[in-house]
Amino acid sequence: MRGTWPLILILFALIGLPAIFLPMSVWASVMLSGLTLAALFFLVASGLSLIFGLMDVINFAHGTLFMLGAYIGWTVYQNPRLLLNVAPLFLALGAGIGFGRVTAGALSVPRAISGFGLVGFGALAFWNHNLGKLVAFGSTVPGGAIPTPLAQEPLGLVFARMAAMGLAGLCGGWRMGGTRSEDRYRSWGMSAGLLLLGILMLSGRELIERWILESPGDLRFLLAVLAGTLAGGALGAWMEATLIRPLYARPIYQVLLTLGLSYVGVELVRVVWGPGNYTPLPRPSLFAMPCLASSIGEWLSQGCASLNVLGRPFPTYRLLIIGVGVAMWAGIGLLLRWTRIGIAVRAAVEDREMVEALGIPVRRLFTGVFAMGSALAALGGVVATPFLGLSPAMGLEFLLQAFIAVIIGGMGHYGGAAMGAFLVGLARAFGDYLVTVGIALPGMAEAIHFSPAIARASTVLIMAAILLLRPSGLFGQKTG
Amino acid sequence: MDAVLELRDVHTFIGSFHILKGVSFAMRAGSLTALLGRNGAGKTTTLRTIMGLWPAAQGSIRFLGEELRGRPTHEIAALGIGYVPEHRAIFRGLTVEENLKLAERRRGDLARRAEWIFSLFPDLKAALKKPAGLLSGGQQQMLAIARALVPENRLLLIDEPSEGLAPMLVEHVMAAIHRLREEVPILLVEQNLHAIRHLADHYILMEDGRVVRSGPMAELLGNREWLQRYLGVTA
Ligand SMILES: Nc1ncnc2c1ncn2[C@@H]1O[C@H](COP(=O)(O)OP(=O)(O)OP(=O)(O)O)[C@@H](O)[C@H]1O
Ligand SMILES: [Mg+2]
Repeated sequence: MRGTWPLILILFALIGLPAIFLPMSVWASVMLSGLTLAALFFLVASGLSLIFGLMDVINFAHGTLFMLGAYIGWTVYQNPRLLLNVAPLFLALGAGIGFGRVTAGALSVPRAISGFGLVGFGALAFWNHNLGKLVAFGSTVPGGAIPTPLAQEPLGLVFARMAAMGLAGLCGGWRMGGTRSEDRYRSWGMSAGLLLLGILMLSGRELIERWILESPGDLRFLLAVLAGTLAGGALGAWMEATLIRPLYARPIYQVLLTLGLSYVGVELVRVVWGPGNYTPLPRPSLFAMPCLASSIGEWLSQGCASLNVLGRPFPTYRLLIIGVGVAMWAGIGLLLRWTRIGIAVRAAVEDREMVEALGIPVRRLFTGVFAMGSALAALGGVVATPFLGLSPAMGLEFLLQAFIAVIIGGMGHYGGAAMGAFLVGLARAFGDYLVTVGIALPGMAEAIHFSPAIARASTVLIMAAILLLRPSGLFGQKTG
Repeated sequence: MDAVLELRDVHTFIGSFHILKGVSFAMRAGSLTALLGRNGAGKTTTLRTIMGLWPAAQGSIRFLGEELRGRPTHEIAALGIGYVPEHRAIFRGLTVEENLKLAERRRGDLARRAEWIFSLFPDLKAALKKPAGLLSGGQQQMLAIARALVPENRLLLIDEPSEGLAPMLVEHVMAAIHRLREEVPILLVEQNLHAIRHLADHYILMEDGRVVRSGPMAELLGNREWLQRYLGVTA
C-alpha cells in the first residue's frame, strides 16, 4: 500500500514508544484523550477533505461551521429564546430569496431598485434591534425563567422585522436572477416551507421555549445536537449555492471568500453571543453522575461521569465523542463505498466532467457534499461543548488542526483524513502529557518539562516530517 | 430527412482561441459516421461541444429534434447520448463494476444489459471487482465503450478508440464497434483509416475547425487525392 513506511514509523513513535516508556495506565489514558481529540479533528477534517477532493475548494470557513454548530447547539439547550426570535428572520430571508429567484424572470425588476430594496429592508429589519435582551444567557434555567414581555420584543414587532427580512430576501433573489424551470416547483415548495417554519417558530415562541426548558436534559441535548447539525448543513448548502458557486473558476477569489467568511463568522459570534467564553454544556445523564465507575457495566447502570481505566479515572463523556467520531467515520465510509451517490462522489474526485457526461448533475453533488461536510463539522462543535465549552476562537483552533490532519493524510483522501486526525489527536495528547507531567529519563534527578508551545508545535512537526517523506501526504495523489 | 444529429454553423471558443469556425453537418439515423481530419482539426472539440463540455458560442446543435446548445452536460447525456472520450477517461480508482454502475440512468440498466455487454467484452466480466486503473490499456478502452452501453443511448460519440492500442486489440475493439452499429448510430473519430474502412457508412472531413467534405465512405476511399490532401494518407 502507498505510504506504508512513513505511516508505520509515525505510528510507532506515537503509540509504540510511549507504550514502552510509560506505565500502561498512563499510556491508556493518554491514548483515550488522543482519540477524543482525534474524533473532533476528524469531524472537521473529513468535510474539509471531501470538499477539497470534490470541488478543489479549500474551505477556510470550515472551522467557523464547527464553532457555529457549537454556539447554536448551546443556545438551543440553554437559551432557546435567542434562536426563536432570530432564526425566523433568517428563514424569511431565505424564503424571500427563493421567491425572488422564481419570479425574477417574469418581473425583471431593475437592478438599482432591487439593490436598494435589499439594503433598505435589511437595515429596516434590524432597526433598533435589542440583541442584548435576548442574549441574557444563563437566565433561563431548567423549569424557570419563562419569558417576560420585557425580555423580548413584542410579537408584532418581530413579525414586522420578519416581513422586512422577507422583502430584503425578495429583492436579493431578484438580483440573483432566475432559477431553472425544472427546479421551479422545488423552489416554490422550499421557500414556502421556510416561511411557514419561521411563522410557526415565532408564533409558538413562548410555548416552544417553555417546552424545551422543561424537557429533561437528555432530550434537550438531543435537540441541541440535531439543531446544530442541521443548521450547519443548511448553512453549508447556502454558502455553496450562493457564494462559492460563482467562483469555481477563480480559486484565488475562493480562498479570499472563505477566509473572509471565517472572520465574519467570528465577528458574528462576538456580536450575537458576546466575546466571552461560555461554560461547558451540561452532559447527558449517562455521563453526568459524580461517581467513578469501576466497570463499563457500572458506568452504564449508574451514569457515572468517570470510568476507571487501568487505575486512572477517565471522563466517560469523552467516550461519547469517540463514539460519535467512529460512527461518522464508518457511516460516511460505507456511504462512499456502497451507495450510488458515494460512487459518484469518488468518481467526481477523479474526473468531474466525465461524471457529468454520464448524466449525473455534478452541481447538485457539490451542494450535497458541502452541506454534509458542514453538518459534520457542526456536529463536532455541538458534541464538543460539554467537553470544551464555547469561545469565539474555537473555530480557528480546530480548523488549523484539521488542516494539518488533512495534509498529513493527503488532501482529498477520505481514509487519509481519518488517519491524519488520529495522528494529530495522539500527538496533541502526548504533547499535553509531556507538558504537564514531563518526561524522566533514566539517571536524571528531575523530569524534563516541555513548554506548551512545543505540544502545539508537535502536530506541525509531524506534518513536516511526513511531507518530507511523501510530499502529497500519506495517501494523497492530488497536490494542493 | 431523418437526421439523428445536426450541427449548423457551430462556433466554439476555448479561452480566446477560435477553434470551431462554423461546423455544419447532419448525421443520418442507422449509420456509422466517421469524423476524420488531421491532428488539431477540431474533431475532439466538436464532440465536446456536442456534449456541452465546451460552450458553443453560436449556431445550433439538434439531436432528434431537440436543441442541445446552452444545456448543461448532464441533461444532454440524459437525452440519450453516450460519450466515450479520448485517452480512455475511465475512473481508475473505481472498480470495473462501479464504473459500469455509475453509468446507469435508470435502476437496473446494468442488470438488463450486462449479458450483451459481456458478450461484446468478455474480458470485463472476469475483472468486475478489479480497480479499473489496473486494467490493461485495451481493457480500459473496452470499459470506456461498455460504460456508454449501460443506459439506453440513442447516439454514441466515440473519440479515437484505437489510440495507443496494439494492432490485435484495435481489431478487437473495432469488431465490437462493428456489432454496435447495428444497434445505435455512432459518430466515430478515428485516425486509423485502415481500421474503419469497412466500418463506416459515411465520412465527415474536418480541417482547421470546419467541415470540408462529407459523403459516403466509399467516395473518400476511392479518391487518392483527397486522402493525401486531407489526411496525409497514401492509400
Ligand atoms: N484546452 C485547450 N486550450 C486551448 N486550445 C485547445 C484546447 N484543446 C484543444 N485546443 C486546440 O483546438 C484545436 C483542435 O483540437 P482538437 O483536440 O479538437 O483536435 P483533434 O482534431 O481532436 O486532434 P487530434 O487528432 O490530435 O486528437 C487544436 O489546435 C488545439 O490546439
Ligand atoms: Mg482529438
